[in-house]
Amino acid sequence: MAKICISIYCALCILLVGCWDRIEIEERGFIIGASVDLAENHQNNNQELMLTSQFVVPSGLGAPTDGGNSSGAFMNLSVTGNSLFDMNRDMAKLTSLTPFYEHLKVIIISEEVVREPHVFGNVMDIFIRDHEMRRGVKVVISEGQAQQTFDMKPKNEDLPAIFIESVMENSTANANVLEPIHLGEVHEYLLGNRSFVLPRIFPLGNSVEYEGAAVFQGDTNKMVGILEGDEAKGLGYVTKENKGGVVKTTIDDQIVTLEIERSKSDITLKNKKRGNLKIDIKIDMEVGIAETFGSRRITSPKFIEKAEKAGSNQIKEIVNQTIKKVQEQYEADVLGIDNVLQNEHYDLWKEIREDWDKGENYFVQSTINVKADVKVIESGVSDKITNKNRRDY
Amino acid sequence: MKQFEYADEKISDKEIMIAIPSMIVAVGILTLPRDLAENSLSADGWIAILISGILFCFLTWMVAKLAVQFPNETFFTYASRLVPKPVAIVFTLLYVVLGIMFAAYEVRELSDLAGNYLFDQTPVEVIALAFLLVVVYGASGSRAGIFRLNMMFFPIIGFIGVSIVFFSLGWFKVENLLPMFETSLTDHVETLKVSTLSYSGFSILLFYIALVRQPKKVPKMVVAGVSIAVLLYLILFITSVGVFGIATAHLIYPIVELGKVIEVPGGFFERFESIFFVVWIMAIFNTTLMALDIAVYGLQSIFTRIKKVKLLLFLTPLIFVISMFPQNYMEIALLGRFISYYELILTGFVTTLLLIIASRKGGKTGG
Repeated sequence: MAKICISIYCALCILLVGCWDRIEIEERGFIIGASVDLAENHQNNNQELMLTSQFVVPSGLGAPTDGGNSSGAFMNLSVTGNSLFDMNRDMAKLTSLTPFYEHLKVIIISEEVVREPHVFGNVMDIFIRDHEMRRGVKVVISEGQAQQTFDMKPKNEDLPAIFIESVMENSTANANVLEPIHLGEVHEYLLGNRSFVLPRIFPLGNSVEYEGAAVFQGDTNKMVGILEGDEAKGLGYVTKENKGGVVKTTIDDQIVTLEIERSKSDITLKNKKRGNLKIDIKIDMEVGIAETFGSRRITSPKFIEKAEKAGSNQIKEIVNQTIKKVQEQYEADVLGIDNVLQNEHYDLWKEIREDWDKGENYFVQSTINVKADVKVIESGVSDKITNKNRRDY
Repeated sequence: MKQFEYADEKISDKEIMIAIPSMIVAVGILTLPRDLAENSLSADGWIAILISGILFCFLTWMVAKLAVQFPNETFFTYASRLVPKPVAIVFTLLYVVLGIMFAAYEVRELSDLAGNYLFDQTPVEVIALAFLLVVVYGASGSRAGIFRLNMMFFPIIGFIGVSIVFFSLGWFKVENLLPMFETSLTDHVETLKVSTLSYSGFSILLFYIALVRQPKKVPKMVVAGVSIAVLLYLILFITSVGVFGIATAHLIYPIVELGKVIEVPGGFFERFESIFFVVWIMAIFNTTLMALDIAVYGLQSIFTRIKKVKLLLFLTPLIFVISMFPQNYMEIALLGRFISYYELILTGFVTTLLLIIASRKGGKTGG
């Protein structure tokens, strides 16, 4: 028995001496943002990428009372190469910290990188595959250099990556911006070979603008173009449900702005004639009148009717414009029609799947009809703001 | 080293009910959604889970029916009453082999999982050894203690399973579950094959019913026990398809990823998977513990004079070596599949055989 005890104690000694995976928290380099750019000196066809990671420098964060801390709360490191994982390991050589990605919030990819076919999928590989990465990380496309966005000094945030994340989080009440897309969704898009859109940001000095959408062709996962302004708005009307936004329209040459309270879009297939599929998109919206120019009493039924009609027409026009662009120019179904076909008409979908927005391009050949139905349900707290006729009631 | 002796080594029928899902739910469910989604469209795999679940309800019911005919008798005792003693010894030894392989498989899966997600640098062997030693410690004590541990752990495991579903509802997309019922029949059969593999472990009943104080209600209870596992499988599968869509088929451990997507705003639950891992290791611990104990129990019933500790000293290195045998992920999965088939065939055969003989003999003595 004594021998057994001794041998067990010896075994315990081996097991308890320490932990292989021990990394002191001070030595961990918490990365909150990563960006991928084309390296400047890429030779011939050999694509060289540049990975920039934003590390948090905790001492720079400091207490609010510390006042201006000149050292800054973050540190950006860039490495070039062609394997992102390799580059990541290289990064460890440049700093005393061990790169740690579990707190990654946002991945920014430069437009230049994803204009080549299949590169987007390749770049995403490591982010999806590595166990440290979380599927909730937001993915965004940047115009120009992605790395640039990490250098800005926003007024109200210490960390640019967190700033970008908050901008994306908070501005979704705009119809012309997309919902943030997460890494998990990107994985699904890539696996499904479906066309998709990613939100875009523009670096603007010490801030960013979050607007528009980058359109990706599903087959090659190559970025084929962008939707800006009203085009992105049209996409939002179709794909975003209940997420708010505004419809700006004119009634009698006066601007009237409607705020979307509730919205719903229904895509239905009307016939199964391949080569000329008829698809209806019906958008139902309940809006409030957010702003009117001029001085009318807006609670009159006549005005409401006018507003509803103007709103519907406006939506129809904008959505049609978007459809035209994605059908004719980009040939990529980002409206989600493929989802409806798969979910509700699986037999048909099985046959046309390979020729939807590639090959035979049934998507481009189909006729998409937009219907919009706007209902005004709210008028704000006052029905009239200015008076033209000098009446006292 | 003194062992504390409990007054009696008996358990209640509730404890045997909980032992079933405790045994079944382990590493299988972590990969099950992927295996099912691979061959079925959207969430159609639930049909396979349900059908195989009903099948196993029936099988466990059969096993229980057999075992309750011989209250308070070990498998070896009643088997040797029904068949010649050498055959009974062979049967018992086959179950000992099952227990050893089962424990080895669980140990290896756990250490790979933990190595993958938690311990980057730590060698798999060390994780496996550390885990195995704790299991051995558990097995060296009272047998009834194992059941008490089950009763204690299982509610926690169930709670975590349900809360994973609850917290990931925010990521759940109903359209991921569509289109329904579009999987072809051959694919359904394929899926069914996969899902039958995820209920392995039910044959512990052959041995453990001997411990039940009043085994009358046991057949009903064990069917309820299997149903708990089926239910847990169903909701976890549907949730992971709802959250990951087609990516379910391409995630190695979909349920772990489910734990990783959970983020309750405010940063409180950003790292839900750490809690999940702790609890799921408890689930795997219970399973491994019972698998090892079955091996010990089987050997004890044949070699009545050898002490438990000595049996464990013989089994532990064996399990460790077997667990280190598979070289890669593929081979581990192969071992898992082999064990499931082995158990299904062995228990199917043994139970049917013994049931037939028992009814004949019963008829004879009665007439």
